[in-house]
Amino acid sequence: MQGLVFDIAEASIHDGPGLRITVFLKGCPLRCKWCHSPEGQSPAPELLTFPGGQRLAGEVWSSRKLAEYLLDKKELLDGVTFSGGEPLSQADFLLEVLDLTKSALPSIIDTSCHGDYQKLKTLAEKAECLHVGLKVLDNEKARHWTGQGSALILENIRRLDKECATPYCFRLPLIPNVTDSEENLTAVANLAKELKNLTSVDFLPYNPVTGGKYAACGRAYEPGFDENAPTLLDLAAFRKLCPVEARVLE
Amino acid sequence: MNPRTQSLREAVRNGYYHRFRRAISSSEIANDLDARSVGLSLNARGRLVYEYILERETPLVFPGERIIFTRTIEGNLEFPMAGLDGTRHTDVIENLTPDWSLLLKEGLLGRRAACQKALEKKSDDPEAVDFLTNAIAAIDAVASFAKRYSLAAEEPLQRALLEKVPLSPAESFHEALQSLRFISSVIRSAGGQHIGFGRFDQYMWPYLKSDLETGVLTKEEAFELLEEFFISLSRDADLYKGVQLGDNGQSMMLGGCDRLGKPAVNPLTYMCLEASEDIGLIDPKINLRIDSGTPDDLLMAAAKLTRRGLGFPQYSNDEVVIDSLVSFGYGLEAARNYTVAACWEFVVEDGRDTPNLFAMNFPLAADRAIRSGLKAGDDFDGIMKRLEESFEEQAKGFRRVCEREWYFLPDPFISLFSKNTLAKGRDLNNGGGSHYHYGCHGCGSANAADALAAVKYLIFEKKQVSPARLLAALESDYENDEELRKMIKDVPHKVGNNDDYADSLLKRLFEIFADTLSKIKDNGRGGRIRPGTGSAQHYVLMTEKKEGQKLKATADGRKYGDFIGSSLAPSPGVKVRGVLSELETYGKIDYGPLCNGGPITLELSDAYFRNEEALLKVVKLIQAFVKLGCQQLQLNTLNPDKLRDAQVHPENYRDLIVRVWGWSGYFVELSKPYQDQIIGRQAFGA
Repeated sequence: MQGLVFDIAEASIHDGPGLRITVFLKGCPLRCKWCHSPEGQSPAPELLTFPGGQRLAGEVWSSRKLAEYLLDKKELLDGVTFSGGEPLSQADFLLEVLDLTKSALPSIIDTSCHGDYQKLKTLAEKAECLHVGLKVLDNEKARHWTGQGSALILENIRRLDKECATPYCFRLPLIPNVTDSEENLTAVANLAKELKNLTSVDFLPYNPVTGGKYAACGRAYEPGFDENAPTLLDLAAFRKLCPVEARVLE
Repeated sequence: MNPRTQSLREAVRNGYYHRFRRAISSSEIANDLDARSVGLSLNARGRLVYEYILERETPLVFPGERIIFTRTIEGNLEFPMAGLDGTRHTDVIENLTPDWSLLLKEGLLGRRAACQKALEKKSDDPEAVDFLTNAIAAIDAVASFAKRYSLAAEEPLQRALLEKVPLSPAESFHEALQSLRFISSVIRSAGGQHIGFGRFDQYMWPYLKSDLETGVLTKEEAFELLEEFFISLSRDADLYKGVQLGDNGQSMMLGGCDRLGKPAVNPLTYMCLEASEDIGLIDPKINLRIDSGTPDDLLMAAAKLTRRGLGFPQYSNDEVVIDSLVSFGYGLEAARNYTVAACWEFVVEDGRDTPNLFAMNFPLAADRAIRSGLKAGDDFDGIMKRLEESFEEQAKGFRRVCEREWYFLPDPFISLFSKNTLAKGRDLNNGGGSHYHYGCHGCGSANAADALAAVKYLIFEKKQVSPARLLAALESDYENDEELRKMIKDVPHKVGNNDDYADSLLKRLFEIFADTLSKIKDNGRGGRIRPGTGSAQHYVLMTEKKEGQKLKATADGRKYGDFIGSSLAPSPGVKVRGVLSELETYGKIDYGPLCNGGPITLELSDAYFRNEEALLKVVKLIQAFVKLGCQQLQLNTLNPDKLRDAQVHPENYRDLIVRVWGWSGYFVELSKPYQDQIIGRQAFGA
């Protein structure tokens, strides 16, 4: 079947160890106010208009062609990362790609876990590990900041931890006063205590959005928080609460 | 750096040594030399240059310095001398790496004795007698200059050092470095250009090893000496000739294998990478020979040097380079001992190749074939056929150069540092070398292949564009057909995307190029022409708008005056899928016949250099380059925003370094077209 890809990064830097390719699948049910890839949100192709020209975000790939493209480089690669957007929103397509590639190329799936549980589980079983993009745990606050409540996400994580052996880490963007509040971080640490396959909590420093991507999508960037505020994270304090390794990724 | 080396570095960056210079005008030199060369043989004229310039140099020894030599004659010296038949000789030896081990092992006096010995054997060969006599006279001129230097030294250690080298064999790492600094500078004073340091870690290691073993030096002391030597290379570098400041050929090759093919990496290999990273100057320009067995930690040290932003090391894949040198005709052991000339041209010992003489304009060849083929109603095969003719048309110009009578001024002094010259009794410029090939750059290959791909796709396959429409657009520089230019930009087949459609055209272009040059069986000096994949300064020279510029608008959508890529790189403005796809594209080229070199030029954003984990990815990229069978690689860091700011506020960026083509320079010292070409490159991972 066919899927929609809005970017491919070869030798990607932030999406897992070693030399890997990250495939960014288009479409996401969340609307995080700090999203750095607004062109990944809509499930349809979009024409981005930059001051210097236009570019289409959203290239149609068949699962076979994408698998061929990746397998062609298998001798060079340590693995592949599927990110988004939200890979779960193109689960059937991704499943086909994984079936074609998984024996040669280990995969990381970068997901918020917002989506159909059975599909999440099927994908997770075929992956080497997951990067779970955790944000705000309080249901109502999550609805405000990410466009969706957190209930489904938390339910999926807990269930997956019981039913699937694939290890995963949390990747939590440090949004000043939003995700890095004491309340949210305590909730994350408490959640971590319940989970057996969680390997680490990785914090991603927030960088102010640049490059005019929102304008290119015809939208305004309205984060609703102070972009330049320092993070509230006290890593040492968090480590005392958290049962697994915690670190800040540079 | 320690405080001492730090202050030495400051002194070279501040131009402290310039105040000791005095100027001699080129015309004064020319007149003097003309007057003094009346009745002299060519060998004697070559020797005269050394005598003349060294007589005028003033020895300078600064308190406490351990690597000694500073130029005092200002200006880019050229030595035009009336030849025997009245022709002026302006061609000097350049792009050559002397066999420095001969200097270090034998000293000047040892070479002098070798000349004497050869003289006895060749006493019935007048040319040999003339060459060897003048080589001895040149040694004597340098020796008496060295004597004056030793007398100028007030500190006993300095004086002892200068009394010993370069006259006698070096017996310590310090003496070897001093001998090398002194003699390489003397050669450059006498007009030698782009004289390289060759396989520095190979010929220097025995001295360092022995010093470390016997306790003459600690590792820290050795490192300080190495840094002082590296820093000394920037003292006079502004006097060295080049296309732009920084293009001075102070290249150094590290790593690789020995003559038997065994790994030859040693502790000095690592020290050189570390010292270069630590001092952060554009000289020496570091090259690294690698293969699939190169240790990860060496590649990590190299990646850290890349992170320093100096535009090097440049990597050569031994698995490809050695084979291509052998298939061109060099001996296997000599090929294994290859190094680079000033930029990237692979050079083999004991020869006098001129590796950067010619440049093939690929976009022009493709454009002629496309325009004439479309006018004549050819199909695409017809255009490809015409391509062979248009390469041949340019090769005609090369043939004319080969047939021309060349006047090379002999250099009996440089000729001392080559294995066969003395036994043959001939100067390197006069048959004393074992090979005399020319090199030819292959410029703008991606633009040429993209142009052919666009024609094939839009005109012959999709039939979306008529030949007449493309011809009209090319004639008008796309003035009246921006829509067509956009269609061309949207053609899905571009070099650099691992796309067989475009890549097979690229591969074919290099095949035709190599075939065309292989038909020139004699370059007039008993050599042939070595095809390469580099572009050197031609990415500007072949494209700038000027009277007589042959390359106009091209069918890849390039307008008149737009740049072509640097060496092997996608066409400027083409955004390729990624760095792996680009390496895969270039892994498809058959490098067998392409032994002149020319690097894939990759620009990485600084995100790759932020931490060890990301650096590990750079290491793996270098390994991917080897795995894919590519030949040569330049990995640079590029931050276009910073470069744009540097154009506006040069005063804030005095130390900003960029890779220009086969060399690195200070960005603010380049002229604008060269700055612009760099800014226009695609940075991966941004």
